Amino acid sequence: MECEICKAKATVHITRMENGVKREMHLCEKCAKEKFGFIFKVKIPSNNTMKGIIELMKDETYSAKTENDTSCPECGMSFLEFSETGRIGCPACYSHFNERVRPIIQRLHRNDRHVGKVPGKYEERHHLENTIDRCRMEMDKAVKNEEFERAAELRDQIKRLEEMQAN
Amino acid sequence: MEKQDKHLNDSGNIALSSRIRLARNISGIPFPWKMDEERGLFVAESVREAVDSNGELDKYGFGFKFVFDMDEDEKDDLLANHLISIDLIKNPKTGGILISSGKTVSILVNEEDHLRIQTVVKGFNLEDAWREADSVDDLIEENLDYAFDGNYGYLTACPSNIGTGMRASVMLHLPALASTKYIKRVFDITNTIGLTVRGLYGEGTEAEGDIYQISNQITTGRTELEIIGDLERITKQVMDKEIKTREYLMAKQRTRTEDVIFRALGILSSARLINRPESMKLLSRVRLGVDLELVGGVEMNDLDVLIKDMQIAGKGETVDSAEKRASTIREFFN
Repeated sequence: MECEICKAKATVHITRMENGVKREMHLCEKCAKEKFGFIFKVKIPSNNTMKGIIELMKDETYSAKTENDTSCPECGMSFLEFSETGRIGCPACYSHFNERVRPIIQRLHRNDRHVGKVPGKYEERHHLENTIDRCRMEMDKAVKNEEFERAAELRDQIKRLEEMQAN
Repeated sequence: MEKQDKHLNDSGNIALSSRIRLARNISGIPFPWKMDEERGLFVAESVREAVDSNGELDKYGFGFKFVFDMDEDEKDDLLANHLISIDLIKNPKTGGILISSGKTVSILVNEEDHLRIQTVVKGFNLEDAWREADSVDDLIEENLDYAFDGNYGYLTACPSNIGTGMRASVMLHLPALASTKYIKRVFDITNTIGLTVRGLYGEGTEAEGDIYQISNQITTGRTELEIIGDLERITKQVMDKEIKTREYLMAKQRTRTEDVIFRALGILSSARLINRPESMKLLSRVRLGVDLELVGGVEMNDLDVLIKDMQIAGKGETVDSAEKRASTIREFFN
């Protein structure tokens, strides 16, 4: 079957209702993407749940073995265990298995970046880290410009901020 | 007729409740399925402490209970009220729950995640449910370090909850829609936009009594309020479709509709043995009849309490329970 737009091989078949009339469209991947801005190559797991993940893990794309698969240093969970249970062992697993877990999160949520609520404490920490970074940059600049008094001030400020951070 | 139209447009009786659930975990501790009993008890103690030591949470009057301290009736009651889950009961050693005195806020401890903060409000009102959950979450967090990642957000035992950790849901009674093929389309449509429709007790359960739960599946990449907004839009459309179907049934198939409702009422007020699925099916029809003002003398609130009581699951069905159920229902209608 040919793509209705460019005559290439149609691989995307879309059925939709237009003014109450059922209409079928046959498109190639490229045209489908241009027209609709997305394609679901594989069916999205019908349930975004543990079961859905276990189902997903049967797909080679996500479960293929790699040579440097090590267990999580914090809780000892192996990637195989995740594939079988659909569950993560501990918070540290997310960074340990980052490369493997990220595509799964992207697949489940069509996104992997949190844009919602941030815990108050994290916000403070986050703010402190940013301020220290900024002060360091300013201090480097001051030293470069031979503004030593200003550099000393900034050095003391960084020290104070770092103490706050340690607490 | 005027009165009836007013009622048809009142969505209050279609949406039974709105819920928000936030999944949270404590930093540096394995998730419940991966931790030993000692750590589980430590988590329970930490959560309890974080709640008890925060004066601003006093107004909720939270009380804590371990699963192992609950008797079967208590578990059934909490289950029917959606305050605890089957998963929590499966962790009798360290699972527990904090329930507010008004039973509108609960915190599940050591279910799939260390904490599951849940709020429930009557009717269609996700925003109030969210505000409440958000504020309880803020207060708990003052004394607990949550597992949070700058990129991934709140870290959860299952990647399907990552990010906001939020599941928002609305429970809907859709008897008219369920009698048509359109209900299947509702499932398909909601699935493609990251929402899902499930039966009464969540994943994999039947929509007993025509009660459906619409909730979000996608938990990251969008803010909590955006997710809630999507869900609200779809819920409104589904409720609207239910109302339109009811209008159609009343306009074009009135006698048939009345017949179905009054036969249900007839069985419920006379049966001597009735199992749960049948009682739920028939009660759903009568509830529709009350909402359409065809069945008089029954208060919707009272009927909803009865339906909730009939939902109580858990134990195997015996002749005894079928007899007891039938007699409770008979008493209600006579």
